[in-house]
Amino acid sequence: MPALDVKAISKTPIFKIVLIIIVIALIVGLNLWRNHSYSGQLVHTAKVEEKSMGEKVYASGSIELQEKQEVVARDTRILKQLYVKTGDRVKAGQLLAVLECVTEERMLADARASLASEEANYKGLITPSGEDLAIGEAEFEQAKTAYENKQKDWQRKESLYTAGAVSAQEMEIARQELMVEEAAFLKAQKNYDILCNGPRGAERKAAEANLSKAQTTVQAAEEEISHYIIKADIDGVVLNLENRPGDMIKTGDKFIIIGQPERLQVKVGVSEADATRVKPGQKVLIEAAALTGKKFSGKVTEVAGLARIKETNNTRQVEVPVGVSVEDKSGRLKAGYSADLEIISVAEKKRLVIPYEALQKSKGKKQVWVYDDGKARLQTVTTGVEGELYLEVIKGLNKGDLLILDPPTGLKDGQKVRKATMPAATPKDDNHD
Amino acid sequence: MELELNTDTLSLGQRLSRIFTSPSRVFVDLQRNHSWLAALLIISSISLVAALPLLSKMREFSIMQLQRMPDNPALSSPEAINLVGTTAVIGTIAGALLMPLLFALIVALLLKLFNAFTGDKVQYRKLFAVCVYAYLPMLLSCLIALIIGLTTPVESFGNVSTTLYLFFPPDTFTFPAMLAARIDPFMLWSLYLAALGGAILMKSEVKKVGIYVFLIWLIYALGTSYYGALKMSTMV
Repeated sequence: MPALDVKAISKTPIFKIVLIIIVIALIVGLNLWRNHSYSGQLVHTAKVEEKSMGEKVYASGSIELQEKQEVVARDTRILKQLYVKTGDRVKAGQLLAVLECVTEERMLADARASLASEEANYKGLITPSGEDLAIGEAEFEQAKTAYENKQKDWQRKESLYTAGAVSAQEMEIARQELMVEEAAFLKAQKNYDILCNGPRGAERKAAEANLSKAQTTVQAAEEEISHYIIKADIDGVVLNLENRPGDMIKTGDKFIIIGQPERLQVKVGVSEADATRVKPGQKVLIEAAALTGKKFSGKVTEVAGLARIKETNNTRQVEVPVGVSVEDKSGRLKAGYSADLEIISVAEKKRLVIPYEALQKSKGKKQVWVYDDGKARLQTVTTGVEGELYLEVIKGLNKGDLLILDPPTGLKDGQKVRKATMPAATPKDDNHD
Repeated sequence: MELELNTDTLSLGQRLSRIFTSPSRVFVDLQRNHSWLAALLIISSISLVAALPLLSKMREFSIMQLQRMPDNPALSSPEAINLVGTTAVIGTIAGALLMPLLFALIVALLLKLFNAFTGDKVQYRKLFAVCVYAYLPMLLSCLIALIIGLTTPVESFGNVSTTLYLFFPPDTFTFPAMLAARIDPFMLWSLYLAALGGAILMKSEVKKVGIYVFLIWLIYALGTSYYGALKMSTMV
């Protein structure tokens, strides 16, 4: 049997053609096998899983004092006296500082003197002393006697005039003297009557008005001077005091700030979309920019009944003002720090969750595409709590179901699909959710 | 390598057919008559004809790829979809027509560069003629792709391949997979033919020219595979 010359055979055109046909057949076969094995639209999938998740509303704001007193200079004055220093604990009513106020002091003294005088007058009018009564009575009796004497004198002169012994001029003088005595008598009678029975009508009103006016003047002077004799309105700590006695305090300067550093709050604006989820009493986690990594507790204290429009950089945002009290026993938080807030609207617990990429909305329904043994199946779901990256599914899915992420447009129920071998850019796990 | 030294002149048809079975004979013939225009026109025409039946599928597949991308209003408009489809069609036609020419231009340039340092000096146009004929295995791969493409549903159209990527699952973008996608036996065959033809014309060793061409291809394949894998890893 002749030996098989492989080298010679490999050089024949037939061999080469056969080899080419084999390669072509192999390639075609591999393609057909591959098409069969990997048919269907390529999709990325994610499993329905259980995750610890709650619901939070995020907001940012500045830490403020819940209660504070800012002493603002009304006009430019010299700081005369200072009775406290920064960090001092003060009580409401405690004297803090005195600004130069010579004119105001003089005005107050004058007003007080006038008031004292008016008070004395009024008192004398309303409740006269026995001595006053005696004097009044004596004056009345004196006027009465003088008047009666004048009357008798008048009658005598009248008789003489009739007899022609007295001239008409003397008669006229006598009549005028009688009228003067009558007036004096009537006045004394009235004064005595007021002393005995108290003032009546216009007299009483006039006396009361004078007293009231004097009191108002004193009050105004006291109020005026209170702007320069500064007292604490609240219990607290002197938080800011930069001036020394002798310094010129200019109009509008906030030269003393008193507050309670342990009672802090944050006022934030929550977007209208989130506002319905925020309610008074909800727990809040607060992180100050100055103290990163440390979270403080707080509580929603108030949710405004009206929304407001916030305009920044030509954008309009409707937000609802929300007040949050801050609990900080460490004293590390300071008013003025900027803070990020996480308002816990729904408490964290284990929930069945899906990534947002799997959810689509159609005709008011929330739907997902389930990868079901190589086919896409449309499933309507009921969702619950919404986290940052995931949302809860209450109804429609089971743990472990495979969902199609970012479903391709035009995907049909029952359409053949194929899972991608490389993972899609799925959201990273977040324990805070 | 032993070269065939038959001195008979070959017709265009003989050249085109014998390149698969007796390439040395074709290249020896090209040494005498390096006409290439008719061959290039025929190759480009066949390439175009092989692409035409796939145009509608190509268009549909491109649109499907666009729709697979995450929701983007700019990409989902009818104008954008139409533009992508049209671009795919124009790209396919242009690629089919220009690929043979580009292959011949670039590989001939590489051979000319090699020739600058070694062997008998050969004119660029002769090397170009060699490369035009060397493209024929790649044309064969186009025809195979046409046959497979016609029997493949649109959604799997992206899986059609004549490279070693066939051994990887579709949509695998690892470095080995990307490298495999560049190893096309027909392309390597074409490069071998170009090296063989170049060596015959330069009267140089086929081994030397072959190693030179292969190394350049390897650098290209490794570089583009690495870049491709890196890009895909950042996209997903």
